[in-house]
Amino acid sequence: MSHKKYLNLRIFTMGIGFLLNVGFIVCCVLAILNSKNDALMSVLIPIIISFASIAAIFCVLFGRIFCGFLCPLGFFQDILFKITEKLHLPKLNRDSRFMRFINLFNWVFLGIFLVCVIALIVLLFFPDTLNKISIPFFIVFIIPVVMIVLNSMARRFFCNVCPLGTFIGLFRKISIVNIKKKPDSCIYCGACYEACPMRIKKIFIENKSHDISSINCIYCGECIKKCPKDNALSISILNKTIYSSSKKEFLKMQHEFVSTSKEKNNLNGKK
Amino acid sequence: MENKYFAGIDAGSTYLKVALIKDNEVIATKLGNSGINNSKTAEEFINQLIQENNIKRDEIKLIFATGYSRKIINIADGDVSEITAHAFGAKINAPKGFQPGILIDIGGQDSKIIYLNSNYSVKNFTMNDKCAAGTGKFLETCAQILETSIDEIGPLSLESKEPCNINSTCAVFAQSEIISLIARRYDRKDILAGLHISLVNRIIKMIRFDDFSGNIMLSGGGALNIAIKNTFENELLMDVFVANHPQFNGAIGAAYFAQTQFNK
Amino acid sequence: MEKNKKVLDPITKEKSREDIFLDRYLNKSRKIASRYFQELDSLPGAPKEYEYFVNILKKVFIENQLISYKGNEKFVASFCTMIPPEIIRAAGARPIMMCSSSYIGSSAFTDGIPSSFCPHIKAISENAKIGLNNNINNCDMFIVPLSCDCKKILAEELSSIKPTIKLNIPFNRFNDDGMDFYVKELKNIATQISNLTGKQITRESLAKEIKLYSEVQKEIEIFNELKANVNPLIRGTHATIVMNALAYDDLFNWSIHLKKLNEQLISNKEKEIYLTKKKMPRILLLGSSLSFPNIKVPLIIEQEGGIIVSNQTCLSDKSYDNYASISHDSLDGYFRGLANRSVRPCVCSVFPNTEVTINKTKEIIREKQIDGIIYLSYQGCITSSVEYEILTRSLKNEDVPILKVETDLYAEDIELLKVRIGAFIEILNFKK
Repeated sequence: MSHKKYLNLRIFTMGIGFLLNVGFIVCCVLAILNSKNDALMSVLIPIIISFASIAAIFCVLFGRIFCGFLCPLGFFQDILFKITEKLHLPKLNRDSRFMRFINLFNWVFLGIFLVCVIALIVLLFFPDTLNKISIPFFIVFIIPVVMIVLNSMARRFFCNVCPLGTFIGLFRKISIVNIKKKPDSCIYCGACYEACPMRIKKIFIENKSHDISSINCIYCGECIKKCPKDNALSISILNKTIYSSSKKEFLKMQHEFVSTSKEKNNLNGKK
Repeated sequence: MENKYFAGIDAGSTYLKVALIKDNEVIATKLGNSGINNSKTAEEFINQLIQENNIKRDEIKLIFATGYSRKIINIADGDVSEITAHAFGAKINAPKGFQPGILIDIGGQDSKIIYLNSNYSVKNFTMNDKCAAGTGKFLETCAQILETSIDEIGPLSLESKEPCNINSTCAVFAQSEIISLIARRYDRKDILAGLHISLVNRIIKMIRFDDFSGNIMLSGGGALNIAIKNTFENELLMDVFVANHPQFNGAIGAAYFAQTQFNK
Repeated sequence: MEKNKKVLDPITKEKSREDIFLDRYLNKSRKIASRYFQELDSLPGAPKEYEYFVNILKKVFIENQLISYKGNEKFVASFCTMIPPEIIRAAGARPIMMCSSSYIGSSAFTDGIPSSFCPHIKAISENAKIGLNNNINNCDMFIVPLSCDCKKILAEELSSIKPTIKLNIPFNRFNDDGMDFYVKELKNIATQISNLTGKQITRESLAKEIKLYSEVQKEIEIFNELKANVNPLIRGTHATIVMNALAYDDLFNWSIHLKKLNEQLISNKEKEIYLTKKKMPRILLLGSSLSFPNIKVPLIIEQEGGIIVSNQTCLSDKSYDNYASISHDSLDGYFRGLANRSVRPCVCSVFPNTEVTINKTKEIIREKQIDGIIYLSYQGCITSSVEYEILTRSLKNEDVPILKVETDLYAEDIELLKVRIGAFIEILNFKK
């Protein structure tokens, strides 16, 4: 399929995911606040448990395609990036040293995340403990602001440190979704590496094997969009290719970024 | 049944070689100086061959030429490059037991290394025609200085027990080195042995061994020299074959090529 | 040579010593160039639109004139496509490729350079010192990438003549550090050229140039496909002249004429007007750079009956194959995209990662149905000899013979080359 179709599919699924996740959070909050209302709880608890288990199975089966297709935070970041793109802010250079430093935070956040999940389960079954915990207001305020600013300069920055993503990524070997490379077609131009918001170097460097799955890949498809060779990179489900790189598509979209170009200086018009 | 003969002419720079074949067998050969008019000399040789072997002119169905002056031989019906001619010649000129690998042609003024496939087609080739070291000219001039005939230098050098080291890589400078070696009372046979080693090593430097399967065969005037064959075997540590008619490999190849063109 | 002394020669009182020197220089260089123009004319099958490109070269090599379209143009001479011409154009200067130089061989000016040295560097350094070749003489700035030893020496020589930018190439091009460094180097070049022309690079001007350049690349790709047509439409030697003319001409004007040439070739293809119906062996020409007037190797190949369907030497197909891929719409993002394009997929033999070269060669052999490869290397270029060895080993399974042609810029070894190339083409004919 073409990039436009892949992008539209992602926007569609992310919209649905956003609604589903918002609904889930609302249910959780309602359940915590109305723990005494048994009638409501008998409706909410099964919804919460079934939603959580379906989501867990989905994540294990499909892997981090959740991040690229369903995550509400991802949706939020992509919209924000599209808006701030017009400001032409400088790009944050995420080189390999920076990424090694950032990826350490993954494991720290993963630990905090597991603690939060346990806390959520505790809160659901022992709602009284809600009064004992207090979260300082500025942490809740500062972290999102920092993430918003960084995201304008580096696409999908939060995903670099997202603990849920890392957790799901651990199951990549058994997921049915794969990202593959054909080393014979690669010209080593590095466009995939430059475009990748997760800064995965394996896509660029790999010259022997076909498998380039990584704990960090969110299946956003940016590498395939920027690849100038036919079928060098591809995303496949159950070994059937659904989206692969194409030279024609590359040339068509190569200059969608040129937003202002008043003079017609192309070969078909006169200078 | 009509006799079908085919003739091949190898018009080199010093010597002109002619070969006559019939049904993949060499009937007769002739060698002589090219002279100034290669075309006339070639025609004379063909006529001599016709007379000596009691055949009629129209029994020779096709004549092909090869060598430096191949395009100006009037009597030839066509021409073919030397590399192709040598490869074709190797097919019927090879001694028994030769597996196609490498053909080394040591000519008077150039040397060629031709890599052959198992069906005698050419895989690749290298030529040395810029420098005299590694060609027959090298030994010819050195033989002159040592006042030995070209036929004797081979057997004489085999008698040497301790070959000299020849330092010069250039054929012209080697001549001055020989004179200084003689003044230092080195024996003639030792000097000759050293010269053979020098020539063989120059040729070995041009060979690529990583792509090599089969045997090595020598042809050309240099292959008549038994010491060259021995030196190759000593330096490469493998058996080296010599073509049945070494000097006529090119002419035989051109004639065989003519035969394949006729039968098409 | 003292330029300021106008001393009348006692023998010929009309001309000054200076003018006699200029006459001798021009006569010698014109003789070499005219001889090759004659050989080009005698090669049949040139399309009509090709005349424009030959005239560009005639203006440069025979009339010794710059190709200039407006007054007060600033010329920046660069080497290699490792320097993106988009940056030079966006800063308001005209890029010229310096590697096209005629070899006069005047021994008086090659002091300080040993004879077993890259012949291109010898030629350029000599012409620069003599100072009578208008294409080099009228440049305002030189940019020399320090990619091999010979170029480092050239950069030193040239910096005493005109302002020279020495560009460090990141040999660790697969590392982030290398690319970050190269982006800084390119920004430095942009600043220095802006100081020369007085025009700053803006995001819009650079975007415009990138867009124009990629459209020209599309035309060149169409041209490459027509060159490799199953039945030949244009000879490889004529195509080399077409590509070589871009080294001197303005990009936009050149591309308009290339578009017309493509249209003519496409209409020939539809009417089935081919050069010949005979099956000629399809040759890939690889190796060091090939520039006018030293076109003896492609001429010999085509006179002996081969047809060059792909020319992967510098100044030809190799330099225009790769498109810039921009990932971030900002000035920084443009520089990063250009830096990536110029260095990472580059198949020059100076880089240590050989899988790039091997992959590309195998792809061309597959796509264009190559029968044989001729590898052109110059005496004194060590990296190209090593690349030849690596290619021979890796392409063993492709069953495509490779011939190495080692030569110099002189015309003395034409007969020797004819023997070798003629025998090679005959072997390819028998393989079919």
